[in-house]
Amino acid sequence: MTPHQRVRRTRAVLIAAVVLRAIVWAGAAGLAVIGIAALLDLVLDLPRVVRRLAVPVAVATAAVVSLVLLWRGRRTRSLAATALWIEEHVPALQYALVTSLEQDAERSSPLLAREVDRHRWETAILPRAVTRAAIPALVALAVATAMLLALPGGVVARVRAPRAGDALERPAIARPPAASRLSPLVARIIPPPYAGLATTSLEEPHTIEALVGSRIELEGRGENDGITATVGGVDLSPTARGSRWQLALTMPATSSALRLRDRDFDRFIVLDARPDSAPVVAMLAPTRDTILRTPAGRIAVRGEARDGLGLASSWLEYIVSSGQGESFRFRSGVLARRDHGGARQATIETAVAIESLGLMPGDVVHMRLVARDRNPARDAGTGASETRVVRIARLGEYDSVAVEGAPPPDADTAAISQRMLILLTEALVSREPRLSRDTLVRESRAIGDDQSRLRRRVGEIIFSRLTGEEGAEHSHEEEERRGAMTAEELLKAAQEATEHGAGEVLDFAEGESPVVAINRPLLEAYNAMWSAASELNIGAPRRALPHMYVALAAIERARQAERVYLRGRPAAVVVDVNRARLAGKRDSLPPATRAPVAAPGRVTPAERFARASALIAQDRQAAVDSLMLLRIEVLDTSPAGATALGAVIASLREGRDVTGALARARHVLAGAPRSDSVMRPWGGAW
Amino acid sequence: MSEFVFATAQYESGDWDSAPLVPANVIDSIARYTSIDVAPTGAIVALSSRDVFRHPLLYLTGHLPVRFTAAERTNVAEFVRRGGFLFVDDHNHDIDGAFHKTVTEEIARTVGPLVELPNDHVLYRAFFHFADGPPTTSHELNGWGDNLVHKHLHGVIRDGRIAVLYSNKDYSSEWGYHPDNKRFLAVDNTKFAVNVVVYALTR
Amino acid sequence: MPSRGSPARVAIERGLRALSLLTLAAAAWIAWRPPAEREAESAAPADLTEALPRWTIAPPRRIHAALDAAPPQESRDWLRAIRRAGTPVTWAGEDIPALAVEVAPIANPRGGTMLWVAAPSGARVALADALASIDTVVAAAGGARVLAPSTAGAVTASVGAQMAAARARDTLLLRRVLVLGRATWETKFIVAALEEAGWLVDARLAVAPGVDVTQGGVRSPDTARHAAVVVVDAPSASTASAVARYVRSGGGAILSGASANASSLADIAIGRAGARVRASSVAFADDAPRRALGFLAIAPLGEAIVLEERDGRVAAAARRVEIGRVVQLGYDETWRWRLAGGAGAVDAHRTWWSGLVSSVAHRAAVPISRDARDEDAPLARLVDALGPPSPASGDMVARARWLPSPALLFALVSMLVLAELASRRLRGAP
Repeated sequence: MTPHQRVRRTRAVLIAAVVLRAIVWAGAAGLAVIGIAALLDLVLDLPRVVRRLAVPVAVATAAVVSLVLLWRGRRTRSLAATALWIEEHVPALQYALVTSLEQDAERSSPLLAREVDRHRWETAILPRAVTRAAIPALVALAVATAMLLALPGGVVARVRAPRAGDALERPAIARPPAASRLSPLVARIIPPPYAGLATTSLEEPHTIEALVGSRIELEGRGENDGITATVGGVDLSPTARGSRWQLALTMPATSSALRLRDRDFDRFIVLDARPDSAPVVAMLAPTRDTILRTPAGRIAVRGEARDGLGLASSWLEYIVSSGQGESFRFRSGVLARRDHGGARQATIETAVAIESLGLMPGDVVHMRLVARDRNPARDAGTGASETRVVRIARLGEYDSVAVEGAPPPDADTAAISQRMLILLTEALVSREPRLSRDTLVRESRAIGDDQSRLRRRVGEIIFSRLTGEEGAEHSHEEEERRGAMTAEELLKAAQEATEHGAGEVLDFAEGESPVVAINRPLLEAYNAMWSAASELNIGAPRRALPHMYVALAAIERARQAERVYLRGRPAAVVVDVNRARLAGKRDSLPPATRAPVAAPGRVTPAERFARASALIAQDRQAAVDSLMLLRIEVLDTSPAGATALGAVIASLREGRDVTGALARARHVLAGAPRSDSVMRPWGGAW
Repeated sequence: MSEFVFATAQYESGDWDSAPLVPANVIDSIARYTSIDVAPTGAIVALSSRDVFRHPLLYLTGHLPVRFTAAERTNVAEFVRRGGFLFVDDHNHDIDGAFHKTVTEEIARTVGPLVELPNDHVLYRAFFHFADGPPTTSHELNGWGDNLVHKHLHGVIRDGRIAVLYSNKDYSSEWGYHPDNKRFLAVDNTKFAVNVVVYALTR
Repeated sequence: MPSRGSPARVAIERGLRALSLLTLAAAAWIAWRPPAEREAESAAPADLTEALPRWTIAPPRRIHAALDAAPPQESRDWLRAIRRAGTPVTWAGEDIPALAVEVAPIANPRGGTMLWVAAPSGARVALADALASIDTVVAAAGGARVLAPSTAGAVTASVGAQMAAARARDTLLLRRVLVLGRATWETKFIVAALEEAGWLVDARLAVAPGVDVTQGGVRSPDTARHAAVVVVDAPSASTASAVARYVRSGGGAILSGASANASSLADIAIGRAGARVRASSVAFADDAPRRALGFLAIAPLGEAIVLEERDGRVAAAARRVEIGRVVQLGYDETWRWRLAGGAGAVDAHRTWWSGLVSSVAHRAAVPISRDARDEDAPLARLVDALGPPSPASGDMVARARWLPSPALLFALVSMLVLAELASRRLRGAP
């Protein structure tokens, strides 16, 4: 092996030693930084933000140490430097090695080579050099490692991976037995599973904001004996967990205060309940209520649903109402149920086949979209859209269906038609002197036919009201027979045709049945129309007119007595108040006395704030506790007040000047002062 | 001084006008038994309009489902918050009826939960004395509707007073006749309406 | 061997020594100067604290204080003591604002304090209490008043450097309010508003002849039980007479709407409620909600104080009747404000009615101990202590002189001696 080769090999060993030394020293330095940080944390309880810096600082330190050491060992890269280092440690070489290296490897002097060969520095000095370089580094590494291992459990973890809630990992140093076990305190908030939210931890919490139903686990040091907890008037018992106590509770539905007690130590924690809001559902189509001529076709329904925690499902809910007057039947059901699998937003599109609902004329369908979030509570998490009403028109409404959403009552259409017939008849009477008898009779009969048709329509209205049947077919003979009846006879016949039976069932014992009251004018109109049609059919329009007027007046009265249709306006009944005044008799018992509506003397938030504020000078912690309890109480009623109180509490805790926060809180809770820049002669509200 | 006006609530979803003769009958009874200044006709107030706040007592009835619109819901909640009195009567007299199911759901959602009123509640002694609680209606006795005689009325209580009075007893049918026919009754069946009005005016 | 040093340096050292001896002599003269030799002195406000002990030890012939703010009570009393000891004391202070503050509890179950501030017109008065700042008002026509919902400790009013402080002299025993009227929405919501405001309410609401819904079981007002009575409708003759007697006995009454037209109330009513004035606004504006209410115009008589008017028609007025107070309202449908007003209408209606009752309420005051250190009217107290201000005589103003303090003289002597010593040592002299 030539001297060149031997020096190269030596250089490689030296480089390896330098690198190894740098690595080991770097590791030792890094571990030492972490160890020192852990020691400091053990003594000083470093804040998390500082502990988060420990690992980056350790890495940086290691990098710097390794770079410095590598830089200092950089000369090992040079063969000449290596040769000089060998010459330095083997003086017997007498610079033969350096001289040999200065010559080309092929032309080196054999004499020099032999001289070099006589010295085996690889075994003489190299191991010792490597050892001398490595051992201090390894010792340092061992010391640093030992230090870390010697530290109490959890301390290194607090530095290595700081996290919220690791306060309890830090062992207490010389903790006096009389110290409060309520600090340090760690709260773990586990949201309900349906929310899909992550578990969070808080250290030394003053306020815990969490979804209603969340599980809250509080943990502190020491035994659980003697520690009590109260929330909303309910006592809770902490349990033991190793050398710690633990308290588990569920976030209540309303904000409240959790009071922890350990002997003479008190601690309040605000449980700020965040209710799960129901999904917001909007029906985009149909955009308005609808009246359908026939119970056929499809109605496209489109909507949107949103929920902050995710939607579980949605569906279309409908209620079909059938009937009229006093008799209604209802059916309800759901359509198009869909699962949304926790999506925050969903579009709901479906179409309702009208035929599938089995609707009849006059039926009313109430539809709305409903969505549920994943909250399993029975009464929570369901949101509904606005309701759309779809109505199937009755047979007699066709003329008006197309033009108005709320068609006029049947009696209204009859009134309009009767008025037109009267106009035609009056015109005919005025032309009568100029007309031949045949023409007069022909035109009169034409009006008479219309009058008969209108009379049949009025008959159908009366019959349908009494029987609930729409558009029943009746024989001509039956109509003729009916037409000849008096109103009472027709009514009786009509009542007999119903399932209600005899009149006394419908009639109240004290007076007239509402059914009778409503239909009597129409029955009168029916009879008058019959008389008018008879006169018209024999060509006597002048004699027909009085009957026609009677019919019109009766229809008008029927309209007054009638309930008007959905979304119309019933005619007002005017009561003769003066006639009725004090006509009734009253028993002799006096009315019950009145009880105060509100609870007078109840201490207002402003008064409680004043009392709590007065405590600040004497007992700051007591003032904080009082203000916290007040804040809980006004969380729902005065969010602005709660915010202002929160600022006061924060200022008090942090030892800042509290004057501004107090002024704001007082302004919100007690109201703004009312100033008047002039002296008035009268005090009070002016 | 304004007179008392009996106002009927008009809502979008149902047959709010199913008992058109009730207002006149109640007005007649108020005049008949009390010295309260009462307007001779009732008023109709759309629940979605600001007119709601012109009438501290509102009467709401019907047969069909009650689904408030957003505006109606807002107004009803605010109406009650400001001290208004809402009297709701199920014209179906049927606890399985759509009116009952939907209106109770809407009330709970909008105002608060309905609670059963004890039969010795001050409402039953506000003017006339009803020792057994709410008077029974002929529809209950005839077995119409749900075939039940409802023993109690329900209400939403705010600050110790009834803010929403809910009845399953179908007073809308019971009082739904022309006041002139009251003379034929052996016992006036609208006396309870006076209690409702006096309660609303004095509590 | 001592250094000779330059002649100039030696001269300076001698000069320093001479100066130190002179200073010591001046100090001795000041210390032993006979008091009788002191002449009239004048002091600026900043020097008053320092001058008072000196004037006490060695009273000058006359003292004049030129002040820009009223001195605190201690200084004022000290000056008065000096004057009573025989030294004439005068003062001048044209820039001292005439500031005063009065604190009175409001007859209101929710508490509150009325702060009356007297200050020069246009002065900006900052009000604060022991807790924080309350408000800042600009005084007009000699003063201002602030209704503070809540105060703690002494209330201070400041104009520039001048501050006045006061606290409530007494507290109030609040009694009940009696509401009389028929069963109407107005009576219902008046009772509701007062109860919500914390008042204990007795009520008698007529629903039929001889049939009343009552609360509290009281038929007529009594100063031993009631702070005020609210009459909403024309009462019976006997009730009206009882109300009139109650007012004359010191009670407060609010006559609403047409109730004042009752003949038995004519003696205490402010005027007849006449024609109805229609609302001048359709909607209830937050800043002027009652413009949306109609009212019966009041024709006030005699010494009535008009509280509110619209278009020249009086809507509310007040007067004292013997030792009682009466407010008459033309408004008879304020319930509409509560129901149909803006978002804060319920609170506003409640506060208004509660304030009305407060303004007439029979006040049963209970004195509480008063802190003698309160400076409720500093200028007035200064005048009370030292008499009215007077300008300083010409010689006094000119003779205002300055005498060094002993500490200053000692420091000067020390510096001079040290300088001489240092100079000598540095040049090697002993």
